[in-house]
Amino acid sequence: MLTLDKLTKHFKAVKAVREVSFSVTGGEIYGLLGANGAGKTTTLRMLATMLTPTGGTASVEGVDLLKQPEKVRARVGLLFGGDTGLYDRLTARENIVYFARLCGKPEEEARLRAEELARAFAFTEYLDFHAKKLSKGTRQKVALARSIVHDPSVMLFDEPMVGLDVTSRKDVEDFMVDLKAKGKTIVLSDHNLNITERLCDRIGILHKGELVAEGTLDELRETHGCADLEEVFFKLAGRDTE
Amino acid sequence: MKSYTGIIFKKELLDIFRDRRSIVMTFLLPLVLYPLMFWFMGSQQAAHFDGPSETVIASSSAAFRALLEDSFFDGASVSVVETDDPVAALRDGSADVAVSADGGLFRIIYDANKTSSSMSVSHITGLLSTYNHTAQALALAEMGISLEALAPVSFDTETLAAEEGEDPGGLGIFLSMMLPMILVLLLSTGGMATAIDLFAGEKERRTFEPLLCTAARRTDILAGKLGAVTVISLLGALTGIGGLVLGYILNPRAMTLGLDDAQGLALPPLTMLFIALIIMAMAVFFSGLHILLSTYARSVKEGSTYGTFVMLASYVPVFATMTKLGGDFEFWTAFVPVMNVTGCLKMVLAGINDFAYFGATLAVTAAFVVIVMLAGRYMFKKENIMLRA
Repeated sequence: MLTLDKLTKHFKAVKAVREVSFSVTGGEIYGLLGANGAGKTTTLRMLATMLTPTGGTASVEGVDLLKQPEKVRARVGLLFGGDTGLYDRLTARENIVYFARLCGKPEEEARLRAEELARAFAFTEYLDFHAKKLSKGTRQKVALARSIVHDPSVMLFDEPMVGLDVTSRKDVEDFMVDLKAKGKTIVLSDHNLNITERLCDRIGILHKGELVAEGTLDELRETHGCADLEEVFFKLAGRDTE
Repeated sequence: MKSYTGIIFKKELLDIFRDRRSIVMTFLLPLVLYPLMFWFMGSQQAAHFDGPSETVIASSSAAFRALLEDSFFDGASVSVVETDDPVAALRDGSADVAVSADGGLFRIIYDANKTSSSMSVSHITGLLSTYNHTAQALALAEMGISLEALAPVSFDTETLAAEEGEDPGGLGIFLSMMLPMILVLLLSTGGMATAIDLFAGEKERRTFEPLLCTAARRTDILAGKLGAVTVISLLGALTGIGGLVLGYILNPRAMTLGLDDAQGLALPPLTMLFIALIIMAMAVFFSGLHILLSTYARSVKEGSTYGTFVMLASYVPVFATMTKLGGDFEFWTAFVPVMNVTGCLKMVLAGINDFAYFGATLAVTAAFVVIVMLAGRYMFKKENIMLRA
């Protein structure tokens, strides 16, 4: 369970996120939509404790973000798209084990977990390849494995499909669906409206740091009198609203 | 709370040692370049100290040629070429010096821009002075007068340092100039590439963000990375010194620049301890400084610019004291970072064990290390710096 309560972030004069509140339950995928600079990444970075909120707070399974950031980090996994953030000179195994160790797992347990995840994502034969030698799709798989190495209850995805081919995109989608089935709480930030429509149970639309709409796809269409999500998005956060 | 410093430290070292470029630049190049550099410098200097094998004199003066036939000049490694235009012979390189006669005066012409010519003129004038001196002494002796009796003042020189076993000698002065400079430069640059890679590089490759999402505290991350950069900085300095030692083993005369007074450097244990601690503190200081600037940088390119500034800034106190000897350092210099470390090294090379100065240097360097670490901790907590991109 993830709950945001008037979460706010200002960078000097720039109000990046303004009193954003929503909650996501276990087994649910929450889509966060917005144009560039709308505050999606800043919100996710606050939830991952990389940024400290200027106001408001959030909690993960009842653990407050401001009071116990270490405990929140132990419960949250974060996956960025585009550049996967792997260490090129380490092997896939070493990358995963390193992060498992930094999440508090003993060496042996971390190694077993790396092998278990490699089997789950079907990259066992590449486990001992240096990350720089891996294909983009395999790198993304390793990054996915790394993000859940500590078995987090909340997963945050920040544009995870960027730069991936169709097969790799499908892998990421399947991964999210699988996590959902396991009862994990998922927040997905993506520019791709089709994916958001297909995967997300509820959708929040951010515009200039404010959550301007929230609901299921049907609720959003109905409330705003639009035929599809794209129309809703352009009505609330598109160019005509600037 | 569990500390993750060790895990981060080990991973960073593994990562660094797999970077072939860093290994070549930090460890292999000094082992090849330093012996080569000193080989060339040493060969030239050795030639200077040994003097020319034979001085070729072009002379238009029959009187000068006749003079050189005197038995006094036997074995003086001098040969004379008869020519109407000795200056032309000097210009075209067939002679080292040119001699013409102007009445009773021999005019010796040489080329100040050529080492061989400059050394040859010293050789010739030295020979002629000795010849004059010997001839004068013989003439006076025939008259029953001692040459010494004609000198109004008799004197001798002796160095105080020699009495105390601290005479630096020619080699000591050379080492006193070069070694502290090389060591400080190695320490100031040894960890630079690594620091840039571990901080600005991580930002650029976006590996920092996942790291910040782990259970490791930012102080753990900073400490682990600082440890790794310091190790590389120290290893870089050691390899550099290893390069010098290797050069000495391969060709001792070249490495001592032709100077022959090389003596073993016997350091008391307490001095060795102080120097080891000071060098380590200096390595941590420079590593911390590179980390600070690299943390602030958005990219590797920006980090390199800041790192170059640190490198150049470290040259100032080093070059400012380059010509100073161990005994020249006043106590206040112990409070000037970098300058105090060069002071300590020069003192040690001169055999001076000023523990008050060593202690002050260690305290001042340690204080700067603390300042740098506190600044690093502050920067690591500033999200606008950590997530600058």
